[in-house]
Amino acid sequence: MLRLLKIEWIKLKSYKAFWIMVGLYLFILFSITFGLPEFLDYIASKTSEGAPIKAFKTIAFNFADVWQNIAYVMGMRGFIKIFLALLVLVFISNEFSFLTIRSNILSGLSRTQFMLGKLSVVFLLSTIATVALFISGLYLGLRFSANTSTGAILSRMHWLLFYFIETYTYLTFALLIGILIRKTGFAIITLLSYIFIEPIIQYYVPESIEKFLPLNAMNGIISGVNTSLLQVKTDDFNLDDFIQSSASFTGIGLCLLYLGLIIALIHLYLNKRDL
Amino acid sequence: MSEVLSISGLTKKYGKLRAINNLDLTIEKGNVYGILGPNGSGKTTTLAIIMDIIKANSGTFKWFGEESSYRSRQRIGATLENPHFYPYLSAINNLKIIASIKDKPYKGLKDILKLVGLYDRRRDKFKNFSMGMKQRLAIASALIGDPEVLIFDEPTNGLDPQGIAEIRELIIRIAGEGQTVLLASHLLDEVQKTCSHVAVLRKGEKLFSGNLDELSKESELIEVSSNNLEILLEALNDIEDLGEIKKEGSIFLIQATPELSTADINEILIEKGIVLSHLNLRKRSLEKEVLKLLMQ
Repeated sequence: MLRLLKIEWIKLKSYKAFWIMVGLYLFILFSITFGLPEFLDYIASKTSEGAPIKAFKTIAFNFADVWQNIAYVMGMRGFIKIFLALLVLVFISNEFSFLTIRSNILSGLSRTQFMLGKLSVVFLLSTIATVALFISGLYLGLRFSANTSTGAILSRMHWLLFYFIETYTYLTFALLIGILIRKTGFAIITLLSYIFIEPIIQYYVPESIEKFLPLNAMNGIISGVNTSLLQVKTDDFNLDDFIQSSASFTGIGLCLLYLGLIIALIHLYLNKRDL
Repeated sequence: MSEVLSISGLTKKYGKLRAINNLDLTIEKGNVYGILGPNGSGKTTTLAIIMDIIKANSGTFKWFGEESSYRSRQRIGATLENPHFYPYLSAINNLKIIASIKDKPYKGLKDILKLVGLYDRRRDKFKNFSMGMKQRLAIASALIGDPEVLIFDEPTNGLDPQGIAEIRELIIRIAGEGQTVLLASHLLDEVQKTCSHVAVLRKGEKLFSGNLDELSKESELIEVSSNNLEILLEALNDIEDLGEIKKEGSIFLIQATPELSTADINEILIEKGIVLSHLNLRKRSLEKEVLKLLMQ
């Protein structure tokens, strides 16, 4: 496995486009993390009712809810995760458009090893995304949380793991699209279109089926935010629709099922087709 | 001699077109084997199948007497048609990728780059290379890790005359070291200059395979003529196992065999009281012979 990652590493380490995209992703992510509090302050100063916004910061960024809340925002489909997906599409379709997959195979890589190499890069990207999320959560929590005890920080960190699983599945999905489409441009158009098309499909299918749609399933573990501070409920004010107090086994299972299915498809396709 | 590669009954169809049809081929250790055929005859398809780039519809092949796997490919150095490398990477990094895939150390890479004359350009990006340099990098990648078999697919494609001469010299030198080589080419001259064995392909069918000498021996014709052609023809017809007699102007052409040399013919005819006015052994060049095969 380490050999496979090493091979991929040589391919990527002097590939400027790759590092520019990773840099751009981290730049945007950290701009949001470090800029959001100031942005909220600015909004608060411009409106007459600034108090709720200031309260929001404390509520949303409170340990340990901050892990889930930030994972929810950064994990939204069509948001900055797309940068990572584009990155995956570019590096996989490159192998087909430059036909370097051929020279990889004929030099002595098995088709399965080729897949495992790509999955290890996806693993690396998901890890980078998760670490960036951890840094963001830590910063926001330490600045705004009322409770900064070690216990509070460490609890509910499993939401980071959920974020990792969702990201890994989503990027593997991008890998599949890249392998099936082969042409970089078409692959990008396909993924972006599907992100728009799935909500349309969702509109027409029965509600009970909604959660089984691929992107829904890949985003199904973290489906809402949470707060332990705001428990107010009145007839006019009810947060229940947005609140997810815990992850469901169905959500985790569905996402992992999709992950397994996608990897099986990639494996089957690569082992059957001419390259 | 041990078998390095054995192919049996290999068939690949693209829709209705049979790119290769029921191909059998055996390559033994130390052979310098040429696969000769015009464009579209199935050379590259065959090589792509034995390197697991393309899946055959039917038939089998074995490397080193075993089921083919990535491990057998690690023991082979190969180039396929056009060189395929990462355009944004330097020559040395492209070779490092291949070395890592083959699980071989990097320390031999310098010498290989020097051998193909790319050492000074090793840090340049592949996309800035000329066709000739790309081809030479492909050959360099095939040489990594001292492979037991070398496969070259049209290795002199896109090279200038000097480059062609250099690459051929290199292949001959490698072959001279007892290395097993498989060379696909549409250039007869190239196969003639470098190979010990040859298989001729046309439209996916194998027309001939065997020793290069055998092919040229087959084409040895004895030319005979005398003042009286009728009596000569009668005498020739009396000789057993002579095969077909062709007439070319006032000359008869007879296929030469190990049992029937020019001397034998002369002796037989003198015994019959026929004096020849013309006796000659015509050696056909491989080119004509192969052209004959390809034209059939």
